[in-house]
Amino acid sequence: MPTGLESFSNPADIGPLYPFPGTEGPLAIIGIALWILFHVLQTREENRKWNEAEAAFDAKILLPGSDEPPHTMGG
Amino acid sequence: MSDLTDSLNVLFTEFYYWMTVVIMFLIHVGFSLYEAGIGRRKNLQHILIKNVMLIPVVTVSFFFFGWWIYFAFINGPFINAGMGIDTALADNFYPWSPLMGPNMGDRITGVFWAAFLLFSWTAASIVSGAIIERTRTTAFLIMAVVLGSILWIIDASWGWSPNGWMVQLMGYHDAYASGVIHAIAGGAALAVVIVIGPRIGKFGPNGEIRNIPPHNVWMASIGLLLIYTGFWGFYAACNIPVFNIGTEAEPFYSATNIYLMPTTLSGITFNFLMSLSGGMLAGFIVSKGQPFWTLSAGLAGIISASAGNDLYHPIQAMIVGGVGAILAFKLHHYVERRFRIDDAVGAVAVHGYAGFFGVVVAGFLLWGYPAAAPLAGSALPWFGVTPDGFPAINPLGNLIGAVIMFAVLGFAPFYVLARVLKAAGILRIPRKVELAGMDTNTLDSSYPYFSRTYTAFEEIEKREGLAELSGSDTRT
Repeated sequence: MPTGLESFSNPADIGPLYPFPGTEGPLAIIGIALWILFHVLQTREENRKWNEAEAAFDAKILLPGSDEPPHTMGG
Repeated sequence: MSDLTDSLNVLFTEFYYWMTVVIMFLIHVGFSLYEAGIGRRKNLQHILIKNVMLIPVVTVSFFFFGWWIYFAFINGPFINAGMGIDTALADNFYPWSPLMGPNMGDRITGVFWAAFLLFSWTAASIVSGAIIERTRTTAFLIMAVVLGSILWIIDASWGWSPNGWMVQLMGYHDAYASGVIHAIAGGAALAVVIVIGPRIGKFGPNGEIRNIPPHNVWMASIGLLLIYTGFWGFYAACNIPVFNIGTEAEPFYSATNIYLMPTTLSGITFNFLMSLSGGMLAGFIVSKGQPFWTLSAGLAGIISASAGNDLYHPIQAMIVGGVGAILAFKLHHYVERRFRIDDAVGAVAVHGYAGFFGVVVAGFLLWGYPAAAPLAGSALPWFGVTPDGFPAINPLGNLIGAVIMFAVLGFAPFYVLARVLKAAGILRIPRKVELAGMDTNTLDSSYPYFSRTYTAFEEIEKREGLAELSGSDTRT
């Protein structure tokens, strides 16, 4: 099933090169939705991470691989 | 494209902007190194990821609406002669326009869009540096979109386009973006550092300023040198490489600035290097040879002269750069001392104050030069015209322009935005996390082989390695 162009023999008459020309509007909606979804997921993940880091601080433990004592300024 | 000369012009322009984008990418490499070098190792990876994630969020939002804003808002809207949103070009730049993708009928939109996009990254990155070690990535990414895909591109539409209302009515001139990138980003950064507050322990109980040493001065310095390198692409991207500034009957081809007024790539090469040198020379003296401030002063030197570096004499560029660098250095320390503002990398000074100064100075030094060709339907310029009827560059227009960039489009909206983010509880990381370090308890150490304790892997390696050696010993 052809998705767009089937010939480059008349380059002067060719406009869009991408497949499924005419679907730009729905593509834009999908793209914007994915972008907003990223921000939602990123916010959720960051909140979870800081909650866990605070709990680790309270428990005075270091997670594996960390080398900084939790109650000092480090640096 | 059937005519060879026209084709070569188009293909050269396409390649020219593409190259500027590649070179400008180094600005972001530099900012990333710089911020990571200035930060402490307990925060290093979060500093890095906060900065680099602005790349995708600003890129996609700039595709969705930023590029359209540049063409749509040139009249304000409704500031210049009551003209509204300009649809003549903007209609081609919705995200669903056929020109916003591979198209045999257009070879410039993608590379021109990308050149502007790299400026967007720079603007957002400037704010990033000022607020390191205490800001949530969530908040920063929202700020990056607002600055990179909305506010800066509005100011570019107003003051960095031949048809922008600030150019047409005020004679605003800012060829290499002292105001339209640096002053606006500096103003925005100032607002955020005020609202978010200093890092824990930065100021003592009696107001004394405590130095928070960078974890790696070498890394920060290389970062600044890479920003210099990327700046070459930035300057080239601000030009139109080949444009007929004559008439159809008597063509005269030249490079132009963004306002389609003549300059030369050769000339701006003089001025880029001389303003950089003026800034470094002055910065070395006032900072007593500190690498961080000497290199930052070089940047401040370029930024101070950038508004007029299309036309200055190289020695003028050097002097302006030197004065701007001293101003940035002195103001940074005065503001820090007087208002207890913790700008971790000096971004407000190097970009904001130097950029503001640069726009104001250009208004005086280039007084009377043509700003741009008059736009059909535009109201008469407010502050004078040239003998040819072009809006004239002038001190008042550039002074008002600098205030618009720094305060109206930079500081004010970001003060409100930072307040909203703070009220929502997503501006600053929890204090306990800030004390422990953002990487501590969330990520592996940035320098595991310089740590005071073993990593989890090293514990395993040690246990299994000792067992193996023990077995060997038994065999022997």
